[in-house]
Amino acid sequence: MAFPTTSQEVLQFAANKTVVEQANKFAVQAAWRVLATDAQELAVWGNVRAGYGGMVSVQIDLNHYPIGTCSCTSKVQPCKHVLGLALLWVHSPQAFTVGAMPEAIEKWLQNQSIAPAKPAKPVNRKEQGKRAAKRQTAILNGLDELDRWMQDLIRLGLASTQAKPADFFKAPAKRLHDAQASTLAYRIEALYGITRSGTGWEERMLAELGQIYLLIEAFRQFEKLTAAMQADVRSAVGWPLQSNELDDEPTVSDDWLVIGQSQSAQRNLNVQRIWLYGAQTQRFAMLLEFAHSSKQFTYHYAIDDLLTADAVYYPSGYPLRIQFRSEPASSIQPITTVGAPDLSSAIAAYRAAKLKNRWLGVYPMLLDEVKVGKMGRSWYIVDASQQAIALNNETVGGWELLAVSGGYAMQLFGEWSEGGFMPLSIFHNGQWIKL
Amino acid sequence: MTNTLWQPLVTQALLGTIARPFESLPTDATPLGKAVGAIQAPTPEGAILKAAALVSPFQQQQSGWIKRFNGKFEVFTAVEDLPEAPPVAARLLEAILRETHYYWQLPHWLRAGEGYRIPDHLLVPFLNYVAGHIMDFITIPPIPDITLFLGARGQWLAQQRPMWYFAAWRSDFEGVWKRFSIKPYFGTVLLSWLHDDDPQAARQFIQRLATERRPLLYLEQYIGTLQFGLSDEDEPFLESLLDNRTGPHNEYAANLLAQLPQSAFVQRMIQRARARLWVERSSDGKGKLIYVVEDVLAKDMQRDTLARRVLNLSDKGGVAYRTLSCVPPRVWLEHLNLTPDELIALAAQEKPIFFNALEAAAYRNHDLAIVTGILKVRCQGRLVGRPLTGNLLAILTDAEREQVFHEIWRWVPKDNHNRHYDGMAGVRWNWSAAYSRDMLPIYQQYMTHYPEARTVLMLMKYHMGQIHPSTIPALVALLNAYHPTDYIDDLRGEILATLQPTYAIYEAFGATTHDE
Repeated sequence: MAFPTTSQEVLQFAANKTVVEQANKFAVQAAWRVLATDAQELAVWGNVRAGYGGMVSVQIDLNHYPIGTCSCTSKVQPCKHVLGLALLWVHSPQAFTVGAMPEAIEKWLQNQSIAPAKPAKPVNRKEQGKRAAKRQTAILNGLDELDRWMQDLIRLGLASTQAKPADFFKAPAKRLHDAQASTLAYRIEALYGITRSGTGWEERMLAELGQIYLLIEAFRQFEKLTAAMQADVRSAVGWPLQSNELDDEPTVSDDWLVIGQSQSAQRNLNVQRIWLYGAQTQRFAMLLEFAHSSKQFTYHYAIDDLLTADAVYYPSGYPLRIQFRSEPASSIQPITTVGAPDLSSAIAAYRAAKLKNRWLGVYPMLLDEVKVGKMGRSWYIVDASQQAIALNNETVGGWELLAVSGGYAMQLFGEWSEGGFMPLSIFHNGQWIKL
Repeated sequence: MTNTLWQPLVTQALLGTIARPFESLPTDATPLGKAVGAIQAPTPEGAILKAAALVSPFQQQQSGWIKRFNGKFEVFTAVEDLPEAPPVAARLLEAILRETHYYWQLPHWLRAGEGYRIPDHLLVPFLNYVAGHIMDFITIPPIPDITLFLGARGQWLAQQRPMWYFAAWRSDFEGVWKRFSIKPYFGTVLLSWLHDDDPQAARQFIQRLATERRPLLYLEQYIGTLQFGLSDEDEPFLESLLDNRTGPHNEYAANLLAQLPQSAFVQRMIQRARARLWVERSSDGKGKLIYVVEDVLAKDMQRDTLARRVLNLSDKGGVAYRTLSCVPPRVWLEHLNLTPDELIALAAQEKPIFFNALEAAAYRNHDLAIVTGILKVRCQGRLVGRPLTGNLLAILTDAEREQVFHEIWRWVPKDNHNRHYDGMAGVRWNWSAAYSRDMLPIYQQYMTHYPEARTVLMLMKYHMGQIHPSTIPALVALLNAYHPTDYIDDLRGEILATLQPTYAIYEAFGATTHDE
């Protein structure tokens, strides 16, 4: 990502307002003992007084902001020193002396390019197999316990869960976390929300329990599954594949359009999905990232960015998640997106994808020539034949779509899940705009 | 189809196998029904869960994600007559609207963006922001009517959602008022827009509010919106408000009338003052101001709000203050046959009533000689009282204020920090009025004269919304060259970090030159 040109862009990576306030205090030249950059302006570095009287060393990779390091002990990343140095670089670049880059910073800088550039560590397959077997056993034990808990629910009746507090669902979730099945743990915690979701909650609850039960059964027969199904089951319980497990997967070289971005939070874990559209393959791809609430995501692409990169899809019955094999380069090649001509075909495509991956959570949906309309109090996406799908209540409302489209037909991208359609971007005036 | 399978499962699961013993899974003749019938599980609960896993996907698909749309489409058909804000400016506005940390930059964005409309994708966050943060729009000078930035599309959009209907105030002021004046701040903003656009209509509207049977709680605040652009045409309405003694409305009206030297109200005050104000000379020639207050206030005096108490003054003191503060300083001078310096010196010797009344009169009548003399007395700390009055500074023209500001630091004794602070407090009170002028020379002088000019930095911080863009580059240079203590240094860092984005706003619109 290009280095920001305004303080606002610098501070958008701040974890909270306190860090912003503290960073501002370090945005003055007088606070720094050393302020320097190299002739190519690849990095800036500096030494600053710390609260305890010592000095901390800070360095920022100018080509990959907000990547930077600091010798302070702050758990918040980027810390106030990194942000302060970045602010200073934005508004007072003349304060930095140009000099030779210290060797340590040069080495650090070389390691900053995205994963593919890092020299791959030799993998000890035997050790990895042992660890996998151990984890599989731990998850199985967790799932056995979950199975008993779910059967107890059915024994007592789902009606009894409506009076239960959130902690009732947190207890089995915690055991799943301990068993290293975090994705499933979050799903169990979300059951509490279903009990409070109004009319029809009991049907939604039973359907969700049924799906979880299916996942337990699938995991119990893990060895009998195909490789793609194994990957999907692992992903659904929260045991994702490691990067080195992708080595045998084929590389897909393409120009990618950044077409959508969604972020959500699960307790203190932030989840980001960046959706890409491949120009040649006309396939969707997803960069999935998890970050603790005090950390920042590492991918910072903007909607409508064009990238050229080699990627590898994670194995799946319906592959979506990718990892870059080469550092993406900016592209100027315009990409024409082709979406579903109507909602029937879009939903049919979703059903086909769901048959391939039973645990497909969100599905990228690109719709051509749809309008937004209101029926009663709900907003709908409507195609030319007056077929409509509901907008997901949690998201950007219909007002945003109406403002941008003016009520005319538009090309729209979003995430489809069984809760409805969540619009993420719209094609407007020749470019994709984030909603 | 699946309902015959699904509903029995849901009922069984809802009641539980303890309350309703499990017999068998539901089946039917369909392939799905047969598959359910073939389920085998070691426990009834396991069987129910397996059956739910099998049936629920079909049930969800059957309940249908696709519906038939029979609602109405709203379509925007008008033509935009304003250009859209440039992309960089749009990104900055987006940051302002999403990051409340920078909310004070919105006035800058609106001032810089005059003649542009808000980009389509930011209309919703902008309208939501106005609806939720109307207090931010009560500034001096007032923020321009935000509907000027909406463009035709924004107006069209706003009319469709009740919470944004305020944008229709030009075409349906009554309707908008009825809906939004529940929030008094909204009422104030609406009236200030109306007064700016059509002063006559604003007067009539406020007049109507004042005559309604039950006076509105915030009427005085609404009357206050007449302050900007007050003219002799407002007199009949304000005069009529003097008869309304049910609340403090008449007092607000009296305050505004006192700013119209030709009004009948001021003439009545002059008449009263002439009869009861004089200078009493002692044998050594020293003078003393005397004002004799009536023991009983006549009805016309009560109507002119003379009976209203003034904070920290006795009943009689209040009458004297109210009367004299409405008398233009030139009348004081003519009547008492004094020069401005003599009058200020006499007023400063006596009770604060005379000095404060003279100060208010100077403010209301824009009397530069008296204002400057009073500011000097206050800066030198010769009269204990309120800090330097911002109101006095507010009435000056830019050039006059420039002159006074330049003088202030010389008047303040170097060893009297409190006085210095009071002086700056006066500047602070008036900071927003100083928006349109270049404050740089003042900063320079303060920073040179007072190396620990914390007050100056505090003022800069709190009034970022009013700093003129042309000042910013030089201000950044000035702050960079300024080396105060660590404590103040923090403050300096904060200001530097916030000035840059403000400057960027004007830069984005190509409006970084001083073009008043």
